[in-house]
Amino acid sequence: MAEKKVIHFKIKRQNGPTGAPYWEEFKMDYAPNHNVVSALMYLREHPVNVDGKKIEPVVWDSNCMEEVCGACSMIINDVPRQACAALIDDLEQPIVLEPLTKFPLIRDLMVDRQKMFDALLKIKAWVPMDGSWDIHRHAPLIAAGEQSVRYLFSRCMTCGCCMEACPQFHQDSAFIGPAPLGQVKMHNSHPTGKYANEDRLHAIMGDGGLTDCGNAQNCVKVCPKDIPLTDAIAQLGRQTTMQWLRDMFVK
Amino acid sequence: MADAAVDPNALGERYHFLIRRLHSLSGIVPVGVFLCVHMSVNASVLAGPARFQFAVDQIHKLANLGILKPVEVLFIFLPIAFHAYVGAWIWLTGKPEIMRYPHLDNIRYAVQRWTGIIAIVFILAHLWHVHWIIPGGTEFDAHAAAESAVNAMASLWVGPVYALGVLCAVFHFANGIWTFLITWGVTIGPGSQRRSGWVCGIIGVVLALMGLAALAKFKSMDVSALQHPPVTATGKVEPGAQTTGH
Ligand code: SF4
Ligand code: SF4
Ligand code: FES
Repeated sequence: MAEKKVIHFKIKRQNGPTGAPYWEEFKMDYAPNHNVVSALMYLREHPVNVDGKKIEPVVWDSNCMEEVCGACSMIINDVPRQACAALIDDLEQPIVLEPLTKFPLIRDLMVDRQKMFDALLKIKAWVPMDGSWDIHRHAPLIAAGEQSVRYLFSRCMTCGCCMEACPQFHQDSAFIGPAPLGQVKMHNSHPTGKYANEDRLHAIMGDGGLTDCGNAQNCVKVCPKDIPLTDAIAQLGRQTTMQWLRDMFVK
Repeated sequence: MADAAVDPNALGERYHFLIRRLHSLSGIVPVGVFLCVHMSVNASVLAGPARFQFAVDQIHKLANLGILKPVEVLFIFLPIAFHAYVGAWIWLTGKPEIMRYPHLDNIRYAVQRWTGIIAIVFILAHLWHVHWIIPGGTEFDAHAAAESAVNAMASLWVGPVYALGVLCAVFHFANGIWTFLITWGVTIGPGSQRRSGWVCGIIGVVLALMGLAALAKFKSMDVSALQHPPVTATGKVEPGAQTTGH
């Protein structure tokens, strides 16, 4: 980089859920150790596009700034990932920012990931603690190996990258998507989480459930937390097969 | 065991599960098994026309029992139609983006859809070409199997069309076994999926070679050298000529 060091952004913008998308370019002075969110913050303070025109600042979502909340997911140079963890020094310029395409757009780079949270409710992504009686007095034992597998799944931050990459998940598909399926697998393997296994399996055996996965395995490749989603999907294939047989022959 | 929290429309929902699983199963049994039998019978021509005739005769024992047509319809045509119908619907639910995510698995996902479509179009063309169920073409004559096949394969368009059709059907089947094993929860981790990938790949290569070799043989075989009676253009044995024992 011989010329004057700048950070060059090309951002796909849209003024609201129904507006028409347009591209806008920005150049800001280079400073070391920027990530995409900190650079966007700078642009918010200096909302001037490449033509020197003052514009309304770019809107995006972010929160934790350490890749654990999942709010800042966007498509950066064609890869769905967290803007806070995307270091400017590692990115090829111009840096192209686009909003996730599989969730309803709110404005510019901000989308509504509610569908994923609804799915977590649907699959009961929690461990029952107690009901009208005490479920357990002591913390249940989990083998160390099982713990480390469950730990992988526990790192899911509902960022939506896996959903974005999945060819079977989009705005007019009923498919629940890979992230909630990973959570079904995790909660089904918990000693007291198991109490709701049947409900979780039934929740993914209907329309838009597990069977709508097409095994493209994009999800596992884009997950920033390296969550073994395709292991979970195959594991659930086995669990739903058994559940179906139980429904057929035991009930 | 019943739970109040189960979805009210659980019955309809389970129907969805059943259809998807039957779709997965039907691709292996009976459709995939039929593909293997068909490819093996075709490949038997590599051992000579008599061997091919023998293989065809084994199948046509069913015809002598009068059950060939019902067996064909029940165990071949209906399952293929079901598999294709559900498959077309699945195809419509997906939006592959192979440019943005050019991983092998994703490409395989997209190719599985394209090969399925090409295979079903080819199967329809193939049935029209040599089978009674779609009238218009040349009906295959089981009593003069090699001659009939060679005559049917003589046209110029047959070579590329059949080669493409066979390759697509075989890929769709081999990749289908791989996804079948995931769908039913047999291969779970990446290691087992990699190993099953090799096995499915080998099955695919072997079936493809069998199909292409048989096609090449049919295209290059000299029918006039056979001791079987001559065959007319419609594939019918000339009247009065008697074939091997039938
Ligand atoms: S599974 Fe991975 S990619 Fe998907 S939402 Fe969770 S953290 Fe994000
Ligand atoms: S493996 Fe299934 S869930 Fe994952 S990207 Fe492919 S279709 Fe989507
Ligand atoms: S701000 Fe939380 S993941 Fe980026």
